Amino acid sequence: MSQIPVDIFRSNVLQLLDETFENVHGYILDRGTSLFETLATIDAATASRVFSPRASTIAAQVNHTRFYLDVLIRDLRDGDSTPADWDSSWQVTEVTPEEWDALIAGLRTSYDEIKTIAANLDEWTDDTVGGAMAIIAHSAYHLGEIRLSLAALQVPE
Amino acid sequence: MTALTPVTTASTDSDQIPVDEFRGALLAALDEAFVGAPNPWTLFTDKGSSLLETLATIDAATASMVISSRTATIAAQANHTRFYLDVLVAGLQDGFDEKADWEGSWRIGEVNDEEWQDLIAHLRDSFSKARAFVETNTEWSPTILAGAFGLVAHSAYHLGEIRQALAALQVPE
Repeated sequence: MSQIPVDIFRSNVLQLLDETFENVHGYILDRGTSLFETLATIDAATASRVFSPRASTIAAQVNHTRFYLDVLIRDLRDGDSTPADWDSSWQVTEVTPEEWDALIAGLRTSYDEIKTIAANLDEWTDDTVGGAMAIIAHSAYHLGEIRLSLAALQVPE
Repeated sequence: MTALTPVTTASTDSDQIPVDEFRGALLAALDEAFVGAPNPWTLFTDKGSSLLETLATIDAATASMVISSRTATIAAQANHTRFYLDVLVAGLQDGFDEKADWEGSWRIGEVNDEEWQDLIAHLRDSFSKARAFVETNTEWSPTILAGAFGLVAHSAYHLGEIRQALAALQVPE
């Protein structure tokens, strides 16, 4: 087909988001390794540690992943493509238990909003198709980094 | 991990996305994952951090190291990423008739210099074949569409793991 039905495209976007964030279907991940499942196993102290002076904390990675979603939300929902201050998204480092819970809750809010947009967007242009692909790739990339960070942080001293 | 199950909802929406539009976005993401972003901007990586650019900075000894007994070597990650490309592209072209040996894709022990270079060359070849498939495929069925998303997401995930593994292995003693 020289055209792709929007509803099939949309379903695939939602399915990959679901897999990456909360509910593994076996597309790319092993059971129990989605982002929210992974974060639920991490406490604030672990999320605040680094395995190397050059590495980011898991809290920073989560905040950056949430920030990326928010930038795309503003663009896709509001047409606001103001350049984002990406460096600021890495400035969350150490977190208290309350801050860690709030960070995960904020990520879930942004994730829910991006799903709503994907489910309801009428105009699938070059930009929005590319944006959907970017969200999937970026989220999967940082899930990989977070899971490897966790493994590195759990190495016995 | 299992073979892809296509997402097939009944098509009641008359809106269509031109294949070239989807193909462009797909190729941009795949190129960025494997060889680097084709544009001045990037979608999900920093410049110079694609998979093949990253692997080119790693020697066989580093690729054979593990962070812990629960993690795979970078060599195994690279081989698994290559295997996924091969299985997906073959399956999307000819059908998923046989159960892929996913466990086998992780059974890469220590690699010597020659084995490591062969592994990278094989990965580059598999990427080229996947890219050629995306460029030339004309029939975008729900199964192939699902596979295309899988290629991007799986490759991005393992790029993230490999780059973080490299950072962990390079921690000063």
